[in-house]
Amino acid sequence: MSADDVVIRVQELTIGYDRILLEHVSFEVRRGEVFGILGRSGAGKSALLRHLIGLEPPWTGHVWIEGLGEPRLRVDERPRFGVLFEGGALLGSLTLRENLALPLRTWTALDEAAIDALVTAKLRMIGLAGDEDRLPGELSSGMRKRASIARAQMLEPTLMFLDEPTAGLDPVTAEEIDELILTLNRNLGTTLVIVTHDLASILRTVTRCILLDDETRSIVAEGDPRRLRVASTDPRVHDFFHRLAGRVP
Amino acid sequence: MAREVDERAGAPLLTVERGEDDAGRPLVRLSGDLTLETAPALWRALGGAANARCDLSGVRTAQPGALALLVERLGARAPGDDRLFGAREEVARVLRLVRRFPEKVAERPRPAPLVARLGDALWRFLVQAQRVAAFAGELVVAAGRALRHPSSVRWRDVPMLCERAGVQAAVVVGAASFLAGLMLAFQLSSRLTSLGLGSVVADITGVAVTRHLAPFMTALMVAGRSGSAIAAELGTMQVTHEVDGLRVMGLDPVRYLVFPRVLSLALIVPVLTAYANITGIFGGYVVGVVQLDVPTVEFVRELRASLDLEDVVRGLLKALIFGLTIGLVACQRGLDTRGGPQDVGTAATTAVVAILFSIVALEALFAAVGSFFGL
Repeated sequence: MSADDVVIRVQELTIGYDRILLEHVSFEVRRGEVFGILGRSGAGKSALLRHLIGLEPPWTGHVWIEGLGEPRLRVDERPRFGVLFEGGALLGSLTLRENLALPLRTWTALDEAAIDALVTAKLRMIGLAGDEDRLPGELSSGMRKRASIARAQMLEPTLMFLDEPTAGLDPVTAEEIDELILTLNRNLGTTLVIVTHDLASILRTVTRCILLDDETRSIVAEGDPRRLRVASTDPRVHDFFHRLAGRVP
Repeated sequence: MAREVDERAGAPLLTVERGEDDAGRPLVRLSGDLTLETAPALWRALGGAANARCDLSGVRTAQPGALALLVERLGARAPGDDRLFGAREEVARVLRLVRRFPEKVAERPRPAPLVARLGDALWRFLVQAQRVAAFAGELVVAAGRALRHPSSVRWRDVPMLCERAGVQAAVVVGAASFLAGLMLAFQLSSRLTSLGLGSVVADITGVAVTRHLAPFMTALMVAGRSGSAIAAELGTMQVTHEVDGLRVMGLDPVRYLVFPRVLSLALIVPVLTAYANITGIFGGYVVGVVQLDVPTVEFVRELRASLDLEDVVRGLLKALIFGLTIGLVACQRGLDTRGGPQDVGTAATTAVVAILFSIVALEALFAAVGSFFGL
């Protein structure tokens, strides 16, 4: 792996809120991979994601993102990456059309007709054509997730962060979301960082992962999840990958 | 061929050439990068290019957004449309993604004419009125069941709700009624002074406050404070599916949530009104003593002579009806909330508007009925 392949570098990161959640965590995300941040509930996955995208400052350590350096959310700069929050974070008072048009209006020179055409095309690509003028509250969870992914992808970022993209969805809808994730990765070459504890989704989409442990507050395993599932001798890793084995296709 | 170039720092990012092919058909030749950066130039350059063929052999990289705009401009959305040709494999892959789903474009709703919108507004008002009436019916049924099964009502919520709607509102209700009494007496003072009837201020203030001002002002304050809070609280419970949670546990939300709230308001609004009677009359007393030089003894004597117990009871009964109305409308608007967080705000706002309208309408109705029967 050359240094050019690294898009995110995390060094000795310690994070927490009122208490330490993770200590001295280091890892790298490479270009074009679907990178999973795994762990049980409370292991600090979502907190780590919030630190990766610059929503929270770390206690100690560094996060470096290609083309950006230290991630800080700047209100007057075009975002370099897309983010899908667990709840979708679509603006409830705006229609889907307006939600998706928002980043284009703010950060591109496209006129309204072009934005309209582009929004319609993107919604068609994710199978939501015809729902342009509906409010997020009128959509199912799966539709909201797809629309949120489309909004995160409106500025064609090469890097995307997805927080629990399949949480709360039925298996069929979850598989559709996974297909969308794989499409982004394989067809557009988007690097994806996914926070999840959905084993079926992990095995379908994630190419490399880290497994967080809330007791040691650190990474207990790193690698291909399919290999970790069959080869790891660490009881914590074994427990994570096998406790829901019955639900994995 | 006509040529348009989008370039930054001297290097062309995208070149758009328009002309005709050997058969005389319109032809567009693209070379460079199709990205969101070059998309505005592409969109401008391809105006009126519908039905043209497009040579993509010179396109190095393509993002889906820019390709989607190209497809849109050329009207080539169908996956099998071969007017886009010559794309290298990476570009063709993105193009397939862009055209993967069959077209199904929703028509934007056209704004309705003014008459239709007015009719729609009137219809929605009638539907709302019908829903409140139906809800009142549900509440009556729930009250009957509550009496048969007292354990199904959260009686312990009633004191807490009374405290929230009553004790915490006492200052603002008292102040508002005091100012209303003060204002009324001030308005009368110049006329009464010129007629030499200063002590009549006690008569007029006493009757006006107990019959109208105190119940009315109290209802307005409680509507603004507690009505909106109840609608927002129940609205939040509705959108977070807590109300559904009650239903699936076999609990009736009307009995469990609505009944205690309506009951507490029906109890507390008359109590607040009684208190507002005192502060309102005190407002008139202040003007009488300070502005009109009416002695305290004279003021009290006039007040006792003019004020019947019937006036006070009538005002308190009115307050009871106002309390029931506030609770009923606030709960109905709250439980009628659908959607997300913004709808909770809408529910609270519409609840207050509906309550205020109802109170004014009821006040007018009471005045008309009173006048008709000579009460």
